[in-house]
Amino acid sequence: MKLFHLKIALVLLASTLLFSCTDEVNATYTFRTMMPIYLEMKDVRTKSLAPIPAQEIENPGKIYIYNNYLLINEPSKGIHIYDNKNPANPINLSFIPIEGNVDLAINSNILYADNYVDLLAFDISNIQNIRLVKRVEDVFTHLYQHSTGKIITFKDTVLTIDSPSWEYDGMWTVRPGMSLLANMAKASQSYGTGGSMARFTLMDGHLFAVDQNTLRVFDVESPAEPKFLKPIDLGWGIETIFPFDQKLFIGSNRGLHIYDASNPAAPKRIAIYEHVLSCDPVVVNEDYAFVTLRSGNFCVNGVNELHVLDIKDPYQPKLLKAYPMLNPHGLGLAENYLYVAEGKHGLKSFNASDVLTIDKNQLEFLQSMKSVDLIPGPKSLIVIGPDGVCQYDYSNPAKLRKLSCIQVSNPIEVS
Amino acid sequence: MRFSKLIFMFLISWCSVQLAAAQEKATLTQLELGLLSGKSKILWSEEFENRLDFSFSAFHGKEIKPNHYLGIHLGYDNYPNVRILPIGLGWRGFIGDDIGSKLMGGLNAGFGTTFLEKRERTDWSSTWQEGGVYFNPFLGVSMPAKKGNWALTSSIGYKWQPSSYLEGSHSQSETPPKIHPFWTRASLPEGFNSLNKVSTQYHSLIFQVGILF
Repeated sequence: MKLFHLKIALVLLASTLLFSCTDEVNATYTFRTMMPIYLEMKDVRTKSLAPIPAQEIENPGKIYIYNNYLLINEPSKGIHIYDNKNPANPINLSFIPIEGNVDLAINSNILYADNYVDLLAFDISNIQNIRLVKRVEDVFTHLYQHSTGKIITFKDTVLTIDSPSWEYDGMWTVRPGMSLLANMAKASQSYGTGGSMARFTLMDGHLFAVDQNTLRVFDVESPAEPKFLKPIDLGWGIETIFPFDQKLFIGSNRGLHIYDASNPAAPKRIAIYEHVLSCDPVVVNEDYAFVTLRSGNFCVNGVNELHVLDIKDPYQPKLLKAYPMLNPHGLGLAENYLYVAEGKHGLKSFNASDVLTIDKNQLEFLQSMKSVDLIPGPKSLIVIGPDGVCQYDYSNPAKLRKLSCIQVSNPIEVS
Repeated sequence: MRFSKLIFMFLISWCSVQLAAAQEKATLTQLELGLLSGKSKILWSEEFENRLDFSFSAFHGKEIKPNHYLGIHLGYDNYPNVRILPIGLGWRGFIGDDIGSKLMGGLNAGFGTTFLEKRERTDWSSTWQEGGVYFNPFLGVSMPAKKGNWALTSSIGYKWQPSSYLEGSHSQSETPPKIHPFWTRASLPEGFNSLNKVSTQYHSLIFQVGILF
């Protein structure tokens, strides 16, 4: 019996060696990318623009303060409306769904918002009954894909494909972190009422809108009847616009352009202050322009500095002083107080009454307040960062006091 | 993947019930050395190569009814690209007279872990190995020793073991890269921009010799 079993054992061993099963191998590559989605404007124009009940904010984009209201753009999706009578308790009222919207500005109870290539005007005199009053078609025509005549928009998607070979990241995919055009959320990140990273701005009955290389001028003397006047070529790398005293201060990643807008229908460039390749938000008062330069995703080879320019003669802006900073993003000026959002490093406040000793007059450096932009509003200092949209009491500029934060489900990544 | 999870959960529940019923009964321990035989497909080619890999297995169980034992199974499988430590449950059943050789049947199933494989991480990427649920039925014989209370066993069976090799590229954002547990549904772990994954299902014929006591 034993021998028999031993023989069986040997047979089993032999069969193991001679016959065997085949393994299955499968290689996949999973990646995050922006999928292009093609749209026809005629379909976009049929979508309802009526406000819907309050929605949670996913990605905060441009922020605008208007009277007791806080309007927060959700890039490419629409505009959230908050009742901000009490900044310690902002109340989410409603949401206007506007596809492709990345910017807004308000003048005389008329809200201007872009809808891909069109400019929309809404009457917001009764916040409970917001209505579209005008659509100006085919204004932001750079968004058209000329080969197809369609609008291209991008959707953040995770794809998995069978991989014929080992894939290296970033070589051929559109990466959300790197593509300015593809990622509207990053491109329109955090701006304000004349906040330092604005792209729409209002002055003297005119609406000015900048994109990467063009300034577009609209006549809004009749607020409910915006008229597109003309596009002005600005070169390239345009990022921000700040209006002041019949002048437009336009930040690009190569320098600051100053335009004379005393005739707002025909702004004329009067000066350019050039600097190294950097991203470039700016705020100004009568005498000085404050410009932050930072290194980062799009701002390769940049430096991290605060530049103070003398603009008493706007034809000849002069650099007065450059202060080293950590990674300054947006900034805000409230009388003599300057607030700088230092990205992941936090928030700094300065007494800037003597522009030559700003660094010696730092009031606070709040390292826990990571921020990308801020807006000194009439009731509160609004700070945009990874915590969402927060408001601070800055009646004592040397001691900021947190009032509230509007949580967002997809916080800004500070890089 | 879902199907294997179901098998696993069923086995766990069934075995727990049986073990609870087995109180003051006999125990069985089995130690085995084995060979896993298979054919590997060479990645990104149509060619195959034979493999013969070393395996070790340990079982300890309680008798739940005459000639049936249920218990814990542990092991070590040395596959070409990964070393797996299977941890699971096992069943052994015997047919035959009390004295003399018996026919033996068994089943091991559980999760093949990759504790022996290191996770590597740089600023830009992470690489790691993942295991998977394994399933190993077999048939054999048990030949008692002339002296002492032990027996020699030999068996042949089939072992199914999935495993993956992963290399992910970090997203360079505030979110730290986090390798999620195997049961998570998300296709891309947090903090990663992309992921290369090579999944292998090892189908092996397994021949084992061992001792039983």
